[in-house]
Amino acid sequence: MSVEVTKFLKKLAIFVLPFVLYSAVIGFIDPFNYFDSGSPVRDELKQDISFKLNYAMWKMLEFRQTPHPDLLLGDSRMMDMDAQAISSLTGDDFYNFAYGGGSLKEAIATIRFADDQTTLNSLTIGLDLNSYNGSDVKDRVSEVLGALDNPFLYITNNTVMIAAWKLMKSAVSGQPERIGQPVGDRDAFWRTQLDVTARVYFANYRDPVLYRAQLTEIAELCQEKGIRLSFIIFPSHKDLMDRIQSYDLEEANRMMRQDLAVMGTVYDFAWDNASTRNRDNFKDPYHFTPEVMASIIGSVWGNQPRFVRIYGSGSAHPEPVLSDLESGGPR
Amino acid sequence: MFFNSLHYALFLPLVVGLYFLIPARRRWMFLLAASYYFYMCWKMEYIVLIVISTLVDYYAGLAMGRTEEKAKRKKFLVLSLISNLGILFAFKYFNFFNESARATFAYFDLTYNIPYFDVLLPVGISFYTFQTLSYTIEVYRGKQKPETHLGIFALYVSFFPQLVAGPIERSTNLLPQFYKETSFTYRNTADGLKLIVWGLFKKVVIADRIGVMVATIFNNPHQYSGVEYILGASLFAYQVYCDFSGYSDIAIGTAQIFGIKLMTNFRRPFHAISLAELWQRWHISLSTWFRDYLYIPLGGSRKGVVRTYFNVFMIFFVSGLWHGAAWTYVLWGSVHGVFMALELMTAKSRQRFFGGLRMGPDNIVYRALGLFYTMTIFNFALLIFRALTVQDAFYMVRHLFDGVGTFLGSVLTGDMLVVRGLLRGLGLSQKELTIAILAILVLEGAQLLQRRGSLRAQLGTKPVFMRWAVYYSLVAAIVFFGAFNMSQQFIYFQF
Repeated sequence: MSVEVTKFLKKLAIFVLPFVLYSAVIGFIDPFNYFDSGSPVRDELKQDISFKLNYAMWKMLEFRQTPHPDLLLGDSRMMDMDAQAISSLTGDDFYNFAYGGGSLKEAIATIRFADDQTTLNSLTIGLDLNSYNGSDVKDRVSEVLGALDNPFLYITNNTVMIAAWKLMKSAVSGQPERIGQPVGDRDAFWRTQLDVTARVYFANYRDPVLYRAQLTEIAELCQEKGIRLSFIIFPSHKDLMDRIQSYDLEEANRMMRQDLAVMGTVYDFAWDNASTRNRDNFKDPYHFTPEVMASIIGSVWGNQPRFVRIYGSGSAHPEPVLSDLESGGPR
Repeated sequence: MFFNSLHYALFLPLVVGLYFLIPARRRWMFLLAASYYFYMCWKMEYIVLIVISTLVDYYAGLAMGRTEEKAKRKKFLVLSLISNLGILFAFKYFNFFNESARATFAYFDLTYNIPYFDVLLPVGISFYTFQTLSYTIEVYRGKQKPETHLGIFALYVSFFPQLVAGPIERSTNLLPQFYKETSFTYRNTADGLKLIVWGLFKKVVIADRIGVMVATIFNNPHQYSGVEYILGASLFAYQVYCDFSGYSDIAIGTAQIFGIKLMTNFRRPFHAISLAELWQRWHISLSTWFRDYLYIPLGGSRKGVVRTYFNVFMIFFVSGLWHGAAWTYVLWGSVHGVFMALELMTAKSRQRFFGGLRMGPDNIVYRALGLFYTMTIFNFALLIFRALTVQDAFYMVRHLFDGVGTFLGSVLTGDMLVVRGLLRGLGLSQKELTIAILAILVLEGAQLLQRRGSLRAQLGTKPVFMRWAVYYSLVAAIVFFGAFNMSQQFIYFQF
C-alpha cells in the first residue's frame, strides 16, 4: 500500500472514530428500543424521557412490535384518553396512537402505517377546526417512518440523540430529567391559548382540500375492509368556540361536520351547552379535565351519551343528517 | 443512483479503490463500465441513447478529421446535430409540442390524431447531448483534434460524476485528462472529499429542507397569497442554487479524487449586481455553451444593436426550452431575455445617471440597488419557472401583492404572530426552520469568505484543530441535520 493511501486511511479512521463511538453509544442505550437488544436502561426511564421527546417514534416502534386492531388517533386530547379503560368497556383491543400537538397529516400517515402492520378493526380520529385546517401541516411522522426502515436515520435522529443524552444524565445523577414545563398561571395561559394559539390557527385557516381528499380515501378503505371509522370533535370551552365566530369561520366549522358525517360516525362535543360553558371542566380552552374525559368515553364507547351530538355513520348515508341529532340521546 | 444516497456512498469508494488498483492503461475501461452502471441504475435501456450519441459523434469527428473540405465537414456536423437534437426532440420535446398542437387544434374544434408518445424522459439527456455536441462543433471548427480512441471518447460522453447534471464539459478540457496517468494522492482525495461534503451540506441540509416549504406553496398556489408567493420564490432561489451547485460540487469533488479537474459551474451568483453578471456566475458551463455555440454564430453583438438584443433574447428563450419541455420554462427564459435586453439598452444611460451621482460598482448603495434589482427579477422569473402550470404562474403573478400590505403593516407594528402563523402553514416545524435559517447563514458566511479566494485554500492556512473543527461541524450537520426524510432528487436531473 502506498504512503499516500496509508496516510489517507489513517486520517479517515481518526476522523470517523467519534461517529463510530457515537453510534455504539446509541446502539447501547437504544433510547426507543429500536434494536430491541436488551439495553441496560430501564424501560420506565425511557418511557419518562424518550416517549415525551418523540411520541411518534415511541408509539410506532411499540406498535410495530405489538400491533392492535383498534386505534385512537389525534392530538393531546385524544392522547389523554385511557385506551385500557376503553378496551375493558368494549372488549376490543385499543391502542392510543395519538400524539401531543398532533396534526391530521400525522394521523393519516399513522393510519397508513398501521394498516400495513395489521388488520384493523376500528379507527377513532379526534379532531376539530384547528386540525381540519389546510394550514396545519405539521409532520413529525415521516421522519420516524424513514427511521423505522433505516438504522442510520434512527441513530442520527435528533430526538434519539437528545434522549440518549438525557437518559445518560438521569442514570448518572439518579434524578429523572423533567420533560415539558408545567403551566404556571392558569388565567394567563388561558388568555395565551385564546389570543395566541387560537389566532395562529384561525387567522390562517385554509380550506383543507388535501385532508378532505385523504380522509375520503381512508373512509373508502375502511368501507372496503370493514373497519369502523368514527370522529370525535372534542369539547372546547365556549370562549374558544366564540373565536371561531370572531374569525368568521362558522361556515368552515359547519362544512367540517358535513364532510365528516359523510365519511363516518361523528361524536360532536363542541357545541354550546352547560358543559362547554363551565370553566371548571377545562384546564385551558382546548383541554378538558379527567372528569370530562370519563364522560366522553362513556358517551362514545359506553352507550351513555352526555353533551354529545351523534350523526353521520358513513358511506351508507351519503347525505349528512345534522338537524335531527340535537337530542344527544343514544343512537 | 443519487449522490446523496447510501448506494453512492458505497459505489464511490469501491470505484475509486478499484480504479487505482488497475494498471493505468486499462483504467478507462473500468471507469467507462462504472459510468455506464451509474447511468443504468436509473433506467437500463436508456444507455442505448448514450451509445448512439457516442458512436455517431465519434464517427462524425473522425470523418471531419479526414477532410479539409468545409462542405464535407459541414455534412458530418449536420449529421451529428440532427441525430443528437433528434434524440433530444423525440424524448424530451415531442410530447410537449404534440400536446400544445393538440390543445391548439382543440381550441379551433379541429381533429388531431397524433398520439402521445408514452416514454420517460431519460435522465440528464440535455447535459450529455450538449456535451457531445460541443465536441463535434469544436472538431468542425478545427479547435479539437478528432478523438481516435473510441473508449476514451465514450468515457468523455459518459463520465459519471458529471453525466446527468453537468458541468457540461468541453472536450478540449476533459479529453486530454483521460490520457494522463494519475495515481492516488492524499491531497486530491482529501480536497475532493471536502468539496463533496460541502455539496452535500448544501443539498441535504438546505435545499431538501426548504424544498418542503417551496412544494407546499407551489403545489397549491390557490390556497396562498402574495406574501407566500414572494417567500416561496425567494426560498426556491436558495433551493435550486443549493441543489444544483451542491450537485456540481459533488461532481467536481468526485472527479478530483480521480485526478480529473472539471470546470467551475457556480461563482456566488447571488452576489451579482446585474442579470448579466448573474449569468456569468450561474451554471457557467451552460451559459458559456450558449455563448460559444449559439450567441456568437447568431452574430453576437457584431450585427447591429437590434440584432444584438434579438440574439440575447434568443439565448434565453432557447435556454428556457433547454431546461424543460413546458411553457413555464419558455416564459422563464423569455422574462430573462427581455430583462437582459433591457439591461443592454439602458447600460449607457444608467452609467450616466449613476456617474452623475458619483456612484460606481464599488459604491455600497450602488451594489445594494444592483443586488435588489437582480434578485427581484431572478426570483420573479423563478416564480414562473417553479409553477406547475402556466395557469398557476399567471395566477400567482396576478395575485403577487395580495395581502402584502396587511402583512407588512402587521410586522411593522410589531405583531409577529402573523409571521408565526404564516410560517406554521408551510410545512416546516420551528426546529426545522431554525436549522434552515442557520444553514443559509453558514452558506452566506462561507460565500463572503470566498470573495477572498478558495475556502479550502484559506482553511489550509489555519491550525489543524480549527480545520478539523470545521470539517467535523460540516459532517455532523449533514449526519444529524440532513433532511434525509425530506430527500428529493436533484432538480436538474429532470433537465
